[in-house]
Amino acid sequence: MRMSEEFLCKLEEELMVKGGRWIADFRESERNYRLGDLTFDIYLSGGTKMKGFGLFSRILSALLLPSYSVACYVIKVRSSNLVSPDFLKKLLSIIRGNAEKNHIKWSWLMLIVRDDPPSKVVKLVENHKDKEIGLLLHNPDSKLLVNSKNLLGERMRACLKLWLKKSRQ
Amino acid sequence: MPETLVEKISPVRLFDIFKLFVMIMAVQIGIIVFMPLWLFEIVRKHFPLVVILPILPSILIAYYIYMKTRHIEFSYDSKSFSIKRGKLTSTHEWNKFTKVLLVNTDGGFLIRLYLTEEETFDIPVSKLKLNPFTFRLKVLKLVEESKKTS
Repeated sequence: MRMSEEFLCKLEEELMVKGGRWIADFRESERNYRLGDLTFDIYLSGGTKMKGFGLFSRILSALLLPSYSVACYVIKVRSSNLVSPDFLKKLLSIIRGNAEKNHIKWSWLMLIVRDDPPSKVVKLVENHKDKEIGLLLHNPDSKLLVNSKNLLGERMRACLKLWLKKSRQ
Repeated sequence: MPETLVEKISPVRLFDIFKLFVMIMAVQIGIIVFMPLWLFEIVRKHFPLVVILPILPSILIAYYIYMKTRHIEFSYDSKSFSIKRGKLTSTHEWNKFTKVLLVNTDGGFLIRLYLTEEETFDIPVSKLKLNPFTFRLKVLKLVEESKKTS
C-alpha cells in the first residue's frame, strides 16, 4: 500500500471510529467521490446523533444532541502553493451546493498537502469565516495542522489532536 | 460455493458461540428454577452436577446452531466473490457493481456494494475479522480491474 493510501486509511479510521466520534458519527465513507469536476479522496457522511452501547448514552443522545446531517471531505493537493483564494472558493461552493442538495448542516473540508504551507495560505485557512464549514490543512510529513478559527475548525482540531500527538511519537 | 475462488475467509466467531451457549445454559437453568417442587427435590440431591453436566452439550449445541445459521464463509478471486451464511450462498461478479461504500453500523463495518442506486449487497467485513479500511481498498481495486477486463 502506498504511503498516502496508508495515511488516508488511518485518517478515515480516526474520523469514523476514534477521535472523530467526539464531533459526529460518520457512518458512511466513499473513496474517490466525484462532485462537479472535482474528485475528493474521501467523503464521509453521517449525523450528530450518536448511538452508544448503553441505554443512558442513548437517552442522553436523544435528549441533548442536535440531529444534523454532517459530511467531511478530504482532498489531496499536490502542493500547498496551489491553495489559492479561487481554489478554496471553488471547493467551498461545491461543498455548499452538496450541503444544500443533501440537507447537510455541517461540513468539514480537509486539505492534505505534502509540504509546509506558506504564511499566506495559513492565513487564508485561518481566516475562513463560514460557520457551517470547518476548514483544515494538514501535512502528514511534518504533522502540521492548520485550522479555520471558527467553531467547526477548532472542534475538529481538538478531536484530531491526540491522533497527531500519537503519530508524532 | 464455487471451488475455483482463490481466497477463502471463514473465521469462527467464538463470541457468537459463547452468546449462544449462554442462551442455551440460561434456558436449562430456567427449567431447573421453574420446575415443580417434587421434581426439584429429586434434582436437588445431585447439585451441582445438574448445572455442570449441561455445559458440554450446551457448547456442542451452540456450535451446531452457529455453524448452521450464523457462520460466514467468504471467498473471492479477481472476477467474482461468494458469501455463504449458514445454508444460504450468494455469488456475484465484481464488475456488476457501480459503487463501493464503507458503512459503520451497530453490528460492525460493512462494505456496501451498489448494483443500482436502490439495489445493494453487503459484505460484513467486521464479522469476517478483516480490516475494513484496507479491505475496502482491495474491493475497490477488484471492482475497477474487473470492469477493465470485462
